[in-house]
Amino acid sequence: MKSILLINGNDPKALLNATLYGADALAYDLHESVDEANKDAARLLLQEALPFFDYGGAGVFVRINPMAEGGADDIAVAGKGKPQAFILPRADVQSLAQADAAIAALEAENGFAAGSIKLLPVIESVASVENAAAVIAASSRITAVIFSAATFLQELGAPVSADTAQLLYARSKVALSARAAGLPVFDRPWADAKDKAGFEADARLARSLGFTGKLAANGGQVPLINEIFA
Amino acid sequence: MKLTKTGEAGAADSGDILVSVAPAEEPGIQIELSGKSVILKQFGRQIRELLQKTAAECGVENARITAKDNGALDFTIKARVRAAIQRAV
Repeated sequence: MKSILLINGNDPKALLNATLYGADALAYDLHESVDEANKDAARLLLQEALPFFDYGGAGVFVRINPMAEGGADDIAVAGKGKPQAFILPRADVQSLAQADAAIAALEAENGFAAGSIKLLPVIESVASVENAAAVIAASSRITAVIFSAATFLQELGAPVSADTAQLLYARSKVALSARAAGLPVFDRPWADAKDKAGFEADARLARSLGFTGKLAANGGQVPLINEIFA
Repeated sequence: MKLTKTGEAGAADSGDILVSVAPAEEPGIQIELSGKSVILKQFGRQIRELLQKTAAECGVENARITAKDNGALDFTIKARVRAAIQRAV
């Protein structure tokens, strides 16, 4: 698995077109793509949509909200559609334990095999980067790890810039911790769809640091991710 | 399930359906469906049936459902009706 494509979880047309780009996994997003007033509708949309489509072998994930911001509701409602995994933003040891328990309840209530639904933590806080190994070990459901930069830079008090050097330590730490645990590790999405050169350079740098794949912010980024991380 | 107010969900975007569910005095579920005439001519009956069936499955007995379809598939129609009902309780 090299590419994980983020898709607005409340956009039926985007759900319909999600498999067209050749991504190895699809991440239906309930977090940043969906405004607060429509989280409830988006959860129900994913619950109905996930069993509806033939994904042709692609992984099917749901990026939930942080556990303190509705993540448990995301798991309980959208989870009835039986995704293969949940992506947990702002993951730390405590929130991963909460997510693990919520998924266990979902599995028990819906007749899903215990332990069948996996977890992908997004390591993006300063504390979680520094304690990456402990975060990765927090749940036996964790099958891959994701690094994201925005919260990290914000907590660090560092200006957001195009200078990738400011992320070198954090990326290396997360990649190293994941690989030491024998897990694949995915780099942050590149949000600026027009900056193709920046995206390619960022992906190649991530590859050189040991990342095994990258999140795609749009379908057009998928082919290059698949090529760079092949 | 008793509805207490009007609930709305969905959007007028392509591939979606905008559903409004309101309490009704008269018994039963009344449906007002609009959209592209070519779609309604071909699929109008099925969409009405799905709206009706989904509301009934949610336990709604008396309601007025207004739906503006823009090419939504079944999973979207069901999800939007369920969300509108949740918001109308």
